[in-house]
Amino acid sequence: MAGSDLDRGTWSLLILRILEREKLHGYGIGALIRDRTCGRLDPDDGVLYPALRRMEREGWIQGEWGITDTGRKARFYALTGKGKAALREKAASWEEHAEAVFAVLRDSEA
Amino acid sequence: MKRLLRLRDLEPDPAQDIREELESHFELEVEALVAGGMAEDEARREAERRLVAHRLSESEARRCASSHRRRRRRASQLSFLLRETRFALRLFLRRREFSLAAVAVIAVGTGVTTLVFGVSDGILNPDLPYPRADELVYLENPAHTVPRYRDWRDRITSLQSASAVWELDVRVAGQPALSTLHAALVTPDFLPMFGATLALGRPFQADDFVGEPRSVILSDGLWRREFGADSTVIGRTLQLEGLQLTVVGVLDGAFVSPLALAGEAEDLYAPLDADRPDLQQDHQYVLGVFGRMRTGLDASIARMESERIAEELFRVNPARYTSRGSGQPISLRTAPLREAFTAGVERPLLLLFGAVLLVLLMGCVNLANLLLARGFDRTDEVGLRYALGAKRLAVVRQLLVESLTLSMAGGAAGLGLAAAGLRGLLAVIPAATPFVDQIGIDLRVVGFSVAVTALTGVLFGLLPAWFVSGVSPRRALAGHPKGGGEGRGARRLQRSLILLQTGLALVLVTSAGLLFNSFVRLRSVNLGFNPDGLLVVGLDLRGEQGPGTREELDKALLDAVLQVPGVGGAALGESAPFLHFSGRISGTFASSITSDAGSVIEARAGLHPVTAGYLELLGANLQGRTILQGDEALDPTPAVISRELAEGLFPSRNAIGRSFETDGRTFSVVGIVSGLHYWGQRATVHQIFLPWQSRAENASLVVRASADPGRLVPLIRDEISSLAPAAELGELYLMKDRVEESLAGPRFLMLAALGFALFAGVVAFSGIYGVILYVVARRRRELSIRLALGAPPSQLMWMAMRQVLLPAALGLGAGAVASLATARLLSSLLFGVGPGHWPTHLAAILLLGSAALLASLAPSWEIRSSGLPRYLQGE
Repeated sequence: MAGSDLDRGTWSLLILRILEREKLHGYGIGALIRDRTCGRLDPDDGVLYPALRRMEREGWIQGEWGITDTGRKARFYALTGKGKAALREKAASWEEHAEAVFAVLRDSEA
Repeated sequence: MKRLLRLRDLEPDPAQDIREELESHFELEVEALVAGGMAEDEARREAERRLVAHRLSESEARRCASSHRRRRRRASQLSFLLRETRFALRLFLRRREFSLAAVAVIAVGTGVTTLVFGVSDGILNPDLPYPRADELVYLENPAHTVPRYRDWRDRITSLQSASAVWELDVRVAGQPALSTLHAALVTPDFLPMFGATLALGRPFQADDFVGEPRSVILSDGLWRREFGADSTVIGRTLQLEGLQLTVVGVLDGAFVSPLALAGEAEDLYAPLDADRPDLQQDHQYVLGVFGRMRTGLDASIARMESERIAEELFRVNPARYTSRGSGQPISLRTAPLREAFTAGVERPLLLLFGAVLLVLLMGCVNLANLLLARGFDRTDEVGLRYALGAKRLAVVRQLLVESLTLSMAGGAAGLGLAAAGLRGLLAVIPAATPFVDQIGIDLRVVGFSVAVTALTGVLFGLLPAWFVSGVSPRRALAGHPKGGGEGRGARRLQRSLILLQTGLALVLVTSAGLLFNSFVRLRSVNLGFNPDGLLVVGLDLRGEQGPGTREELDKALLDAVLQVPGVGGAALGESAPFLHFSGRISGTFASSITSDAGSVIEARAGLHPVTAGYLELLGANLQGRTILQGDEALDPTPAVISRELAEGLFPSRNAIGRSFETDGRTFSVVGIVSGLHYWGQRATVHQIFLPWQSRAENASLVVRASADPGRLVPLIRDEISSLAPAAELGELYLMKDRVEESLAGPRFLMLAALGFALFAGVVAFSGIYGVILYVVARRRRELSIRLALGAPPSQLMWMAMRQVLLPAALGLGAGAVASLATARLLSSLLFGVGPGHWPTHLAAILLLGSAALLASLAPSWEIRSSGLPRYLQGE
């Protein structure tokens, strides 16, 4: 449940970033985010799947049914060209955004 | 509200893809949990908990549902169906064993039903090769006298035309010299009624039908066979039984007379003047009578009118319209012509069809039960769908699509089975069955198959679908997964299904038992003679004009045959035992017999002229003496009569030495023959054996072989053709084979019934077995707690068994009543046992009862090996 208050754009960014490395299914994406953030971010599937759907509609990712290593059926998502562009743009704007936020925070700490 | 918006984002395909993606997610989660060291069950519960806790509340689901409804309205129904079917197919691939079993059951069920429908349809609705064939009727009973035909013909108004035909074998002399032909004397309307057209010449005209016949129309077959299709045949003269007949026409090759459809094709047709004074005989039963309904009238109208005419005729002329056999007024009843060919087989076929439908129904019931049990495992999924906004109708529809997909797969396989089974079936169907050649898989049959398949799918799918769909989403997802759909209603349904299965099985088992019993009795009927080594050769001696007299020829024939090595004895008779069976009889009959004491018997008695030694040759059970050489010269003529006739004519007195009179001749009884089944196992016709008179045109040579009778056939044939070169060999049979042949029909019926009964028994057994295992599995927790509290294991077992045994017992009760009713329908097919034959009924009940008991003991077998406590805990 943690992290469900992140906004949509942030979730999209995380998902795009993960998919940049490999094709992966929804459950795997969720698990990776959880692992990388040591459980601090844990997207529930009420967030994850609608996000995936939205991104697919935007043409950033492409979903396809496939089989996992353990032989289970799952829908795998891959990044499209449009998605790569979106990732670059979002990543840049997020860094900008984050720097701005940090700047404010540091400022207030100081 | 925020979440709702997110759910909306599931567009464009929320119903389908997301459901599967969530299922996949669920499985992956379980997998991960198991990999992390969790037990599978626990992992599933945990994954379920997460799924539910994360996302859904009922009110959200409902709000979401309304948005779904709007979207669904836009979706095309067809693509929706396609999607559901795809989903069903994927599901079946996942549950391979279950799906295969279901498809197999449906394939067998619909296959057999289709097969039997195909057979019945071909036989019961034959395509008669006549214009507007549904207007054609015939007068029931095979033969009518000329005066009765005229009386009837002059009165009936619901027919546009009536006709009669007299079939007889005639000798023909002239160019070319023909021997024996099968002729039909026909009244004016006969050929037009059946749409006969001519290839050559002219039809009969009005003046052809005055007095004795003078003209003849040849059949296409005779014209080609004997006249080399010579078109100058018109105008030639044939000598026919002393009459000079001019050939006026040749029939078209496509014409098949109704008599030929059921038996022998006619070679030629001659006009019959029904008003000829010399034909007005009250004892000549010779005419087959046909009619064509006035257009637009129903066949039942002619039937009613005919019956009324018969009553009226009886009032006017009681003597002519009283049956000689029964003393009752005779009935004149018309029936659709089609029934002339199906009357004998209709009942067995309909019963067969009924049995097959029952079996199919049982298969459905079992599948329904199976799905019902399995259905409880799907409550999670159904709950999830509700949660995602599906309506109950949609869920029922999805489940129905599943069962229909299954049944269609089974139905397709079943059609293949039916086609394959047809070949096998045609091999065992009694060859005498009419219209066997019309049996096949045609469009009607395929249509029927599709309908049955669809019905099966709906039938076995609907009930479980309704119950599973009755699940509440919250309970299904949050509650104990196995307990979700478990309602009082579902349990009651399961029990009713057991009841139904047991009842249906009992009906089939009892019917099979009765037919089996009948067959055994029919088979073990003491024929009253010894069929072993008996050989019958039919002879037609009319063409034979050898040097000596007929007496000399008969004697020479017998002597020659007796010289053949391996022949133990030989005799001649006008007919032979089992020349006909299954109700048909032929030969000469006396219909009214008066004893010397004045008592009269009005019943048919076969008159059998036989040579000396005929009865001993058969091995008949004789009292008094047999027919001897020289008896034919005595006056009164010595006769051997059957015991029943003797007892009827001379009640409580010794018949031997007495005399009786029939057809103007006086006979003295010299012997009595007991229990001779001359015309088949069932027939009970009186018999009178007379001395041979060497004038019978048809004769049966009966030979007793000391070794293999089959080997004698060519030898005997040689003897006959060297002595009487013009003699035609008629029917030739080994008595043992013939007796077997006469049992083919009943055997087929019995085997079919046993097959169905076996299938029904297995279905009922497996049904009960499945349910008891399910009951115990479902109540494991409760049972183990009771066990822990000290309840004796036997009591717990009984608790479970009661769940299936009570409905099974009720089913047996209901089935017993239904069996009695069914047995009544069977009664005309039974022999030696009545429909209420209680040992059979009791045996069937005991058999199924113990099968049910055995099936209900299923869990206790497992308990024996693992012990009850472990069994109960070993989930």
